[in-house]
Amino acid sequence: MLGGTYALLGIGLTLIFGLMNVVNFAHGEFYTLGAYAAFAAVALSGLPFVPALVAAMAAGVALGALTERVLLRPLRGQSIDTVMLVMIGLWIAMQNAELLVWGGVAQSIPHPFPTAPLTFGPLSIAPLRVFVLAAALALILGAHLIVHRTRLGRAMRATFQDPDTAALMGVRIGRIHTVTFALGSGLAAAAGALLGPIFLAYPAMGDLAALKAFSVVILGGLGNVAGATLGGVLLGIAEELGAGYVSSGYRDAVGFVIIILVLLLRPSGLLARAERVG
Amino acid sequence: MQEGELVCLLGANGAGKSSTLRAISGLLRPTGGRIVFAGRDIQGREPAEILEAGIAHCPEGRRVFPYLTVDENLAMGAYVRRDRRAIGEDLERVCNHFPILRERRRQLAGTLSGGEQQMLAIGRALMARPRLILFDEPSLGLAPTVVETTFRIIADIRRRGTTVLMVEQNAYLALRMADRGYVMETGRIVLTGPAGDLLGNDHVRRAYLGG
Amino acid sequence: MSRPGLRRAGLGALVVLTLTAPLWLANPYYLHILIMAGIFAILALSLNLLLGYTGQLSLGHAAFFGIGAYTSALLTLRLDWSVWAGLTAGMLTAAGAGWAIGRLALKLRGAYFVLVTISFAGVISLVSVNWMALTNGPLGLPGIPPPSLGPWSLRSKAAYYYLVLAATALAWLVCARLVGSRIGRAFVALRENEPLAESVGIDVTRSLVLAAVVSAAMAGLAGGLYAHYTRFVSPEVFLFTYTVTMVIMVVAGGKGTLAGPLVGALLFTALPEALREATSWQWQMLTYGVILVLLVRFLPLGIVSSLSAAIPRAIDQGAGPRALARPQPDGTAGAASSASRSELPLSNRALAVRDLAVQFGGVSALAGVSFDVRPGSITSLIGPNGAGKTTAFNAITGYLRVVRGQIGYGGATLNGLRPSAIARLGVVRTFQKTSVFPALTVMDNVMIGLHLRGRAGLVGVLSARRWVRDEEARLRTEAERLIAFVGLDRRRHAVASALAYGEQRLVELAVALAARPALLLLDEPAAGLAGAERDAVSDLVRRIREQGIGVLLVEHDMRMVMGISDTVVVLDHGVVIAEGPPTAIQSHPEVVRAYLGSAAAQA
Repeated sequence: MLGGTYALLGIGLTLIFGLMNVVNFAHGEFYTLGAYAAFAAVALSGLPFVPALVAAMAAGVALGALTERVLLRPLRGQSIDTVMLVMIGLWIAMQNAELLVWGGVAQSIPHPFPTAPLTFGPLSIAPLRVFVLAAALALILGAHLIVHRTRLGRAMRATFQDPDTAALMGVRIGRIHTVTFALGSGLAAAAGALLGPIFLAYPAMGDLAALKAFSVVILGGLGNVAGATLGGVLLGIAEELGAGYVSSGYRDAVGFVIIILVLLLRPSGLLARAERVG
Repeated sequence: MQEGELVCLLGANGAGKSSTLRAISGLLRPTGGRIVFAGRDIQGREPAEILEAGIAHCPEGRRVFPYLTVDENLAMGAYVRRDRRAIGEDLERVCNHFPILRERRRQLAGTLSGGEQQMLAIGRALMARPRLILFDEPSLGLAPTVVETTFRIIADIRRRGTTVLMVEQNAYLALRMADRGYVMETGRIVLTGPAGDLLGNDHVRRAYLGG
Repeated sequence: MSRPGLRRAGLGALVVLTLTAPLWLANPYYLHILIMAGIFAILALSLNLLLGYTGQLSLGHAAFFGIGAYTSALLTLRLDWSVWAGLTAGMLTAAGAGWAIGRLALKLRGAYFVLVTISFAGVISLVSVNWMALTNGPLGLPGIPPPSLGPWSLRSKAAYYYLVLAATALAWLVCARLVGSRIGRAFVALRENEPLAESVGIDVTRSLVLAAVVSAAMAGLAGGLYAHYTRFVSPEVFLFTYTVTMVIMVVAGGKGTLAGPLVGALLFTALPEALREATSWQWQMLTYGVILVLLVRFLPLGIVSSLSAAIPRAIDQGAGPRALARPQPDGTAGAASSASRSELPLSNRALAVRDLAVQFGGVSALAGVSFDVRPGSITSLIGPNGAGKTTAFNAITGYLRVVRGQIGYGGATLNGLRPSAIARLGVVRTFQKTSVFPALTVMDNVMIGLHLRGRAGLVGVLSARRWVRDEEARLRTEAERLIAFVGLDRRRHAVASALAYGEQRLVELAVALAARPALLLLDEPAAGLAGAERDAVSDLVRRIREQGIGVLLVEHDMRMVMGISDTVVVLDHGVVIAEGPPTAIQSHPEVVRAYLGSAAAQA
């Protein structure tokens, strides 16, 4: 359940960090944006929940595209550190803009699902959670299909393997960068909109989300959609175990520890693909 | 260059041969000068436009996409084209031309041997249905038998009416099959002429043929 | 005269103003701001050491800060240690943490290093929240004692101001001395061009760990000072905000400069305080974010660098008048160093490569290659592109793992050694693609090349011993001699990236020669050069041989190869197909077929 949304967050980031090599510290803010956009759409504009979800994703895509065009494109070719600093700046700015707009109070997003849990034998689960899980799975599958089965996805992968050669094939590199960043941000926003009704929306929610997205990506291997899915599920399980066996206060430390351990022991992620040297 | 010609560009490492090709295909923006193709100025255009105008570039070191399958690599070659049916036909044609590619269609290109990657790179360039192909060091790092095959294929491409501009280090092989040659040194053309004449030229022999 | 004079007068006035601040600053609130600015200045200096000089961004500095604060606070509260002992212990603990992070993370670069440092800070922060027994959790530790000096307690703001001022000055001095020394040059070399730095003997691991330790110790000191000033610590000290503030201070002030962090710290401590009246905290942070984005975009070098744009951004800039002082004109020192050169036992230094094999992903690039390079001779390695020449270079100098074979050099085995260790044995290489330290002057490039000829260590540098200063002067003279040797004397103070291509290749040679090779591996030194420049390079290579240095040369210019080589080794597809004197090679049938082209055979 949690694993599914972690995976969704991770897939968005694996596109941006893994493929584009942009250390997107603002990824969590797109997640927050998604939650608030859904909140605004449902609670303020009276949109039904599912269209609100779509609207939230669209907001993420739009802001992602804007970010890439305005902030990242002029910096392409600059060192990864420079880009990182800009993304830190964006992160701080977005988070505090959210604070200014929405205030520090957590908002709950209304949803149309009955609160009575569905019971399957010994299992009982809220209908909302069933929907969230299903939607997350659908989005993961959709992202996977886009990346692996379409002309656009092929161009994306080609571009980030070898930008010069991809340009020689007629790929408009700039456009691919924008689309990839927008898609990654859209997925983050979708994750925020899906989890908003369960966990409430509050401005700092993005910090932990970003951390978890990074753990998932690093666990699964950069730029690897299947890896991010697996990484998301594993992180969800690891957190439960960590909270259960150590102390619930250390639940969030699991992500940190995973980052440190994986980077030190197996930097290419769990689903490492054979590196071709030379 | 004339249509249907095979021209080669010679010169030492760092003389500016690859830069010339990269400028033609739009990867580098020239700081001065003109590039005219089929009556149109193409300097400073985007690579996509130049490819659409009919110039394909088979880059140095083959540069296949290592984590894309052979099929996907070929599809990338036809990226700018929208005519699905014709693309399918061309895919068939390329696979007939290079049967080894058909056998490996689902394999990742990075796992192919050097010679197979060269076939793939050429096939990929052909998928764009170019009128002019630029070859950058097609013999680089290939075993002699593979080099021979590669040059046979290039000659074959030319015979079918595609114009070829080739940068090659193996001056002898290149000049033997070219119509004309240019010799570059530190960013300038210092010598030009029919390939046969260049083969006999003292300067060329000393510097590039080692005679 | 007027500009430096003005500068000195301005600096003097600044020093007087700083020293007398408590006297003329009536409002204690302003003094408070200055104290906080001082603490942040130490933090910014410490971060700058990593980010500005070694080029590694740490986002875990809040952890070192917090470790220093908690250690000192706990020791003074629970164990009744004196504040001074607490501060020292805080520094040492933070330094230990810095050592651990440096050791663990030094294999990682860029984004990965950042993520590990962030995660480290995250874990430490969670520990401070959750380990109630030790840290009192989120409630924090109140009642931390202020320091005292003999009978006087430094409780007053004015007294604490002087304490922080002294600490800041100390931190600055540590940075300044490091940066002006061979240690600091090694940091910058790693930032600018790591492979080249390794090739002249700079030990990456040692340098980065040293930088991390010093940096963490400084952050720990800042933490301790903070704890004893506010007399309260809570997990808030680990807030990411502090880290971001530090980064902004360094980037805004100018990373890689000594004044930058001070300016940045002052500005970004005062600015939020000034804004505090007018706006909410969120607005402040929002502004921070926007400022960071704008800075990186429009003022990437920072305020200080942009102001002093006239002076090249180089290491001597910060090192003050001492480092900028011109060394003695060629005289006794030069003679001494050339004397020491002849003492080098070069005679037995021969390179023996036996059955060397290297593979890339199953494809063999070298399949059992053997050849020798005798001292004082020029051996050329030729062959078509892709034949394995550069691969052989990389294997010999430790940049590549060898599958099989022996690389023997003067009785030692080079197999498995790191590039810096191989350079220390006297085997130095250049790179095929022009490889210099781009942002540094020719002089600084060569000074980095001289790394192995200096001995100054951390203690010597920090205490500015006499012999360290003498050594520095000697190295400068030697650098000038080398620059003259390659014929770049007039460009000594030009920034390398601004030089013409041919000049950059000469800088490369000077840097390699500075590492005092007994065996020099040159990878296409003449590539891309025009006729006259090529002749100059040929001539230089001959003169290098005259000094008794063995040369292994990869080159495509046959005229140059045949003209200067004693032995030519021909590679094709990873095997040696011929070896012998140039004349024999030129008529060797197999060479002619594989490389020179059969046209030559017809001649």
